[in-house]
Amino acid sequence: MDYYRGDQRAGITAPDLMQRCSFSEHIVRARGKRTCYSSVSLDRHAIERFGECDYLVLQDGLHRDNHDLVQHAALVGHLEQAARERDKAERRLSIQALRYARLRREGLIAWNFKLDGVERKNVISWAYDKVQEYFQRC
Amino acid sequence: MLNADELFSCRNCIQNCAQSLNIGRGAGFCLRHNSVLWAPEETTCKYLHRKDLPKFLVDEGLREHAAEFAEFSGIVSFHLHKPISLIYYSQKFAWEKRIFDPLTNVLAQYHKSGPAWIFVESFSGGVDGRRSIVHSCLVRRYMDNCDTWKSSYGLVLAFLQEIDADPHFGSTDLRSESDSADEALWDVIFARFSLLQEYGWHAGLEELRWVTDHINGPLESFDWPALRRELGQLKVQLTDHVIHHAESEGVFFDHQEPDTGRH
Repeated sequence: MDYYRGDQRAGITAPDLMQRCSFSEHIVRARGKRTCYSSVSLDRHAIERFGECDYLVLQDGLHRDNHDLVQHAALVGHLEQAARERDKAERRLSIQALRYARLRREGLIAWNFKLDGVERKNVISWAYDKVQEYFQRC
Repeated sequence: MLNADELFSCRNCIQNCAQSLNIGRGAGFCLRHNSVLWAPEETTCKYLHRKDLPKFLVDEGLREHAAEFAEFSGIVSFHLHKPISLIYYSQKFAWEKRIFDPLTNVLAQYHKSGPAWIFVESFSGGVDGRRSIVHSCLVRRYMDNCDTWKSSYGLVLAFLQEIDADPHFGSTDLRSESDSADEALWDVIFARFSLLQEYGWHAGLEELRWVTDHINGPLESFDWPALRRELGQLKVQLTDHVIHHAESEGVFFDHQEPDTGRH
């Protein structure tokens, strides 16, 4: 199944690879707008970071370079489990994330870049250059 | 369709009480800036207080957002990072622009009205979905401005009695004709939970701070009829809890009506 993302004409918004968080925290943007994940969708118009144009996710490249594409069904299953089995903040965020993930038909890319030698202050701009090759304008 | 950026827009802010991600059409109104919001899905500001989740659960994201827009004192275009001129509301303006909305018209009188808590209380009762989300936003806003539970427990007790009320929506209450009333319903339900959680946070009451942990299956399966039955039972316990806490703190209606200032 194809995944899409709406984003700026200039390119895909970089993830913040230093911002580690749970799937639910990413989906509800509890920790900020950028995290170590990138949101994508089965619906071409559902994920629109600025939304100037649509991009297709190049899944072969992700697989080749050992990045993980968390499929929509798997993501929903994960959130359902967290909503059932966790409590307090994890549960509350998971319930809300479940709702949003279904609405957006969302999947996630979990990036597995090696950050050796990348200065902390440069991580976002470094990631910007790196992630472009996994998307194609459509 | 829900765009993740909209979580940080005026649509999802408690200061724009009569709209949400799925509720309310056209222009909104910001109580913070006392301004019409011409395109609430495209604007934001550094004071954003999200409707969909309790503030203490998303405070890291809110702080980052505030820093991003720190250089602007007022309303800002979300994507262009440009200031937006305030538009002061008047009935004349609303009629001239053909944007008159009865609920927005009432909210625009907020800063001209008397004690804020009386204005807030006037939104209790009834089954109108838009009024219901206004009510929850106003109570949260009042509590946040007062920064204490002590002036809000009366409002929260009244609110609790309606926690299982079934919100109704007319087709024009929704954000667009293609939107479903189901999603609008969940905007109201989660705004209600967020209110109780924020009260729990202010009061230091874990029972309310994590009130969603008292609800089992219906919440994760988004089963409103079943959730409504559970809430009908839960509200009795929660009401007792709020009263006992206020009594134990020695503030349970032992003074005048809460606050007479404006917030």
